[in-house]
Amino acid sequence: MLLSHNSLGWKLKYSLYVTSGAIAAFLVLPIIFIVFLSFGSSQWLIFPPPAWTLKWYIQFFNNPEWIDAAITSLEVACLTSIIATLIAMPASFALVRGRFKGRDYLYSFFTLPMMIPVVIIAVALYSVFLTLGLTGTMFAFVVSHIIVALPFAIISIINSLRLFDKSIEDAAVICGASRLQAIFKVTFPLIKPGIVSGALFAFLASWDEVVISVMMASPDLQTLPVKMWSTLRQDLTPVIAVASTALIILSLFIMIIASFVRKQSNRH
Amino acid sequence: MRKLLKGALIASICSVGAMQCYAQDSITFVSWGGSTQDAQKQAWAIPFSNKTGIKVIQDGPTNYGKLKAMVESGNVQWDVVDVEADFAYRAAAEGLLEPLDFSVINKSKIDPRFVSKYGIGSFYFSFVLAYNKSKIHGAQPTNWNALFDTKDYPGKRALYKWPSPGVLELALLADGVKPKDLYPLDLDRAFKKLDTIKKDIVWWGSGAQSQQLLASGEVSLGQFWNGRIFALQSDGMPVGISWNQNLVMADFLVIPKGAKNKNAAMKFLAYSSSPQGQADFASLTAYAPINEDSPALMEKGLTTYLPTHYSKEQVSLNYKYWAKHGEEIAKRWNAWLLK
Amino acid sequence: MFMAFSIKKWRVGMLLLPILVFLCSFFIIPLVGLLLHSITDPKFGMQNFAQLLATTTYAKVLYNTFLVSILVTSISLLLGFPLAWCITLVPKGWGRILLNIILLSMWTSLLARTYSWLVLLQSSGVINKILMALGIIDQPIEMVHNMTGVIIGMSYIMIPFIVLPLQACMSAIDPMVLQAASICGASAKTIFFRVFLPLCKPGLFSGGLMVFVMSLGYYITPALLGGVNDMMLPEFIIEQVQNFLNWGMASASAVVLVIITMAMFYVYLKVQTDSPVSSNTGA
Repeated sequence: MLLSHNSLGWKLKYSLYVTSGAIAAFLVLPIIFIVFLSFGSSQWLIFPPPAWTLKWYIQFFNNPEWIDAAITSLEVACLTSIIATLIAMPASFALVRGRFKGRDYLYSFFTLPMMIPVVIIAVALYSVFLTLGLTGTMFAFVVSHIIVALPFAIISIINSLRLFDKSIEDAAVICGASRLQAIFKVTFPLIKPGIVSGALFAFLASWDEVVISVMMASPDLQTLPVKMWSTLRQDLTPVIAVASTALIILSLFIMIIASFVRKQSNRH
Repeated sequence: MRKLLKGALIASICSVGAMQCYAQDSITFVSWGGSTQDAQKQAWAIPFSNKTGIKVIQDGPTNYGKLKAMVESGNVQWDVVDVEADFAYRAAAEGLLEPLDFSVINKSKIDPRFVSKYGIGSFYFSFVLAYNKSKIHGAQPTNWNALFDTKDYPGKRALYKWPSPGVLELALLADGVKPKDLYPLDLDRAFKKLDTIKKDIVWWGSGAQSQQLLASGEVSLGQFWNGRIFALQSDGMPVGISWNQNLVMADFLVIPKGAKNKNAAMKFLAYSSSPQGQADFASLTAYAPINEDSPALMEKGLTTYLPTHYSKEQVSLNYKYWAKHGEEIAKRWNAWLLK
Repeated sequence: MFMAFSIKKWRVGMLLLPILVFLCSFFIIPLVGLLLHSITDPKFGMQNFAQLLATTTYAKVLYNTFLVSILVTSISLLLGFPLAWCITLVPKGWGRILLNIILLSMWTSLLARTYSWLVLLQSSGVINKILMALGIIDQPIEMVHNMTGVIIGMSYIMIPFIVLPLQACMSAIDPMVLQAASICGASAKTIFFRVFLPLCKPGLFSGGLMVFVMSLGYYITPALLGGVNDMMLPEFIIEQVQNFLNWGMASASAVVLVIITMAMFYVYLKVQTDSPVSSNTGA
C-alpha cells in the first residue's frame, strides 16, 4: 500500500507531495539562479544586478578556450564512464555472486579511492605520470579519473545486483538458456537502472573533478572545471555562469527529446 | 600484454624525449592565470619572443605541489614560475630552485628587497586597508586600527586566509608596535589582538573572492591587494583605500631545479626585470615595478595608484623571516583558528 | 541449490582481474609511494604522527571532518528519501519531472552551483534580502563562511547520490509484500517502519556510504562556502602539500583518516548481520 499510488491515504500522499515539491524547489533554486547571474551586468555577482547584459555571452563564444575545455571534459568524462563501468561490472558480479572469504573487505578496498582525500591521489599519480612522461595526456586524465569514478560505479551496480532476484536468471537456465545467455538476456536488462546510474555517477565524478585535473592539465589540454576553477580564483566573471547556462540548456534539450521519443514509442 | 604495455611505455617516453629536442627554442612560463598572467604575456612574453625568437608557452595556475613533484621526479616541465616571495625563499632552502645567472640578468637597478640568489621580483604589491563606502558611516578609516574598531566601523572584516606575511603584522601595527620592531613577530600579542575581532573575520583565499566580498558589501572593510582594489575602483565601485602603513609583499620569478631550458629562462628573466618590461607590466595591472628605472617610463596619471607612490608609508614584510619560521607560525595559526 | 549456480573460483578470479590490475598499478603503487613520505620525510621515523597527535589542532580538524560528513549524510538521506519515494510512486508525470530535476542539478557544474549558493546565502545575498523585506528578520543571518554554509552546500550536492540508488531499490520492492502486511492488519506506521524501511536498506546503505565517504575527502565546497575556523581535513592537507611542501605531514594525516574510516567500516561489518555485498535472495 505504501508503494501504490491509489491506496496511499490522502493525508500521507499530499504531505509526501508537498515535501518532495519543496525539496525539488531547493534543488532547482541555484540552477535557475545561475541563469539569472549569467545575464547580470555586475562582474562581482551583485544581485539584483545594476543592469542586464549579454556581454558575458559574447565573451564566452568569442573565447575558444571555453569551448575546447568543454569538449575535452566531455571526452574525458565519456571515456571514464565507459571504462569504469566495464571494469566495475565483472567485479560487482564476482563480489555478489562469488562465494569466497573476504568479499566485504574487497568491497571496502574498492571504495578506498573515494576515502582518500583527492589531493593525495592527485600528487601520487602526478609524480608517477611525471616519471613516465605521461603528464598532460588524455591517458593521464582518463586513468586518474577512472580511479575516482570506480567506487561510484561499483557501489551502484552492486546495489542493483543485490536487489535482483537471482531465481529469475536460474529459471532461464533451467529452461535451457546457457548461463551467459541468461545473464545477457535476463539479468542485464533488469539491473540496467543500476548500471546506468553507476555510469552516470562515474561520468559526474569525472565531469566535476577539479583537484586531480588541475594537476594533470597542460597548456593545451585542460578540462572545463580546471578552466572554471582558475577563472574563479583569478577573475570572478559571470562567464562561468554562461558556461553553466549553456550546459543547462543543452541538457534540457536532451531531456525534452528523450521524453518525446518515449511518447512516440509508447504510442506504438 | 605486458610486453605490449612496456613497448607502448617506451615509445611514449621516447616521443617525449624527442619533443624535448625540438623544444630548445621555447620556454614554459607559469603564473596564476587570469588578468595578471594576461598582463605578463602582453608585457613580457610577446615582446621577448619578438626580440629573441624564443617561444613562450603559457601554463598555469602556479601549483607548489606540482613544482615539488616535478623536481623530485627529475622531469621538470616548467622553466619560469611566478611564486610568492616567502615561497621563493622556502623553496630555495629545500633545494628546489636553480641559482640565477646574474651575468645575464642585470640586477644593478633592481630594488634589493626583491632579488635573491634564487629568485628575482616579478612585481611587488601592497596589502592595503580598503573599505566599501556605502558601509562606512562617519569618518573614513585611515589605518589598521580601524579593523579592530568594531564600534565605529561595524560589519565583517576580510583578511587573507593563509598563514603567510600580512595578517599578524597588521595586528601588531594596530596594537602599537613600531614597524622597525615587528620582527621577530610577537605571536602571543598578535593573536591576542586578533582575538578581539575573531568572530567578525571573513577569510579570503583568492583575489577574486576578496573583490567579491568587498564589492557586494559582505564585508565593510579589510586587508586587500592594492591591484584588486584598483580594479574595483576602475569598475566604478564605491570603494575607498588607505595607504597608511601599506604592507609590501612581492611575487618572485624562479627557475625550478633541472629546468630544461635554463639558459633561455635566464634571458626571459633578464627581459621581465628590465626597466621596459617592468614598466609595461605595471601600466597594465597597477602592481609596482621592481626596477627602479621603470617609473620614469610610465604614464604620469597612473603612478598615484601604485605602491611606489606611497613608499614613505610602506612597511616591508620580511619574507625571509617567514620562509624560515612559516611552518611553526602556521602551527600556532591553525591552533588559534580552531580554538 | 544456489551453490551450484554460483560462480566457480577461477571465474571469480577472472572477473576480478581487470579491477585488481588497474587499481594496483595506478592506485596502490603510486599511493603507497606517496604515503611512505609519512614515515620517511624528512627522516625515517614516526615523527610526523607524533607531531600530528601532539597538538589538538589535528584532532579538531578530524572532528570537523567527521561531524560535517555525518550531518551531511543524515540530511541528504532525510531529504532524499521522500524524493525517491515520490519518484517510485508516480513514475510518470510528476515523478518524471522530479527525476529530471535531479539529473539537471547533477549536470550543472559543481563549481557553478556552489557559487550560486554563495550569492544566495551571503548576508547581502538574495535569501537574506527577501527575509528582511518580509520582516521575518531584522539582521541578516550568517549562512555562509561557516559550517552552516558547508552543510547546506554539500547536502545539496549529495542528494542525487542518495536518490538514484534508493529509487532503484524502491522500484525493486514488490508492492504485494506491503499489501500483504496491510491485509494482515498492520497499521501504516508499522508497515513503514517494519516492512518498507527494512526493504529500502540496501539503497539507503549504498547511497549513505557513497555520500559519507565522499564527504570525508571533499574539498571544493568547504573551500568556497566554509570559514577557516571549521577547517576540514582536505583543506589541512592541501595547506601542507601546497604551502609548506610538507608531504610527510600531509601523508601522515591521510593515513590516519584512512585508518579511522577503515576501522569504522570494520565495526559496521561486524555489527551488521548481512554483508553489504550478499544478494537479498541468495544467502
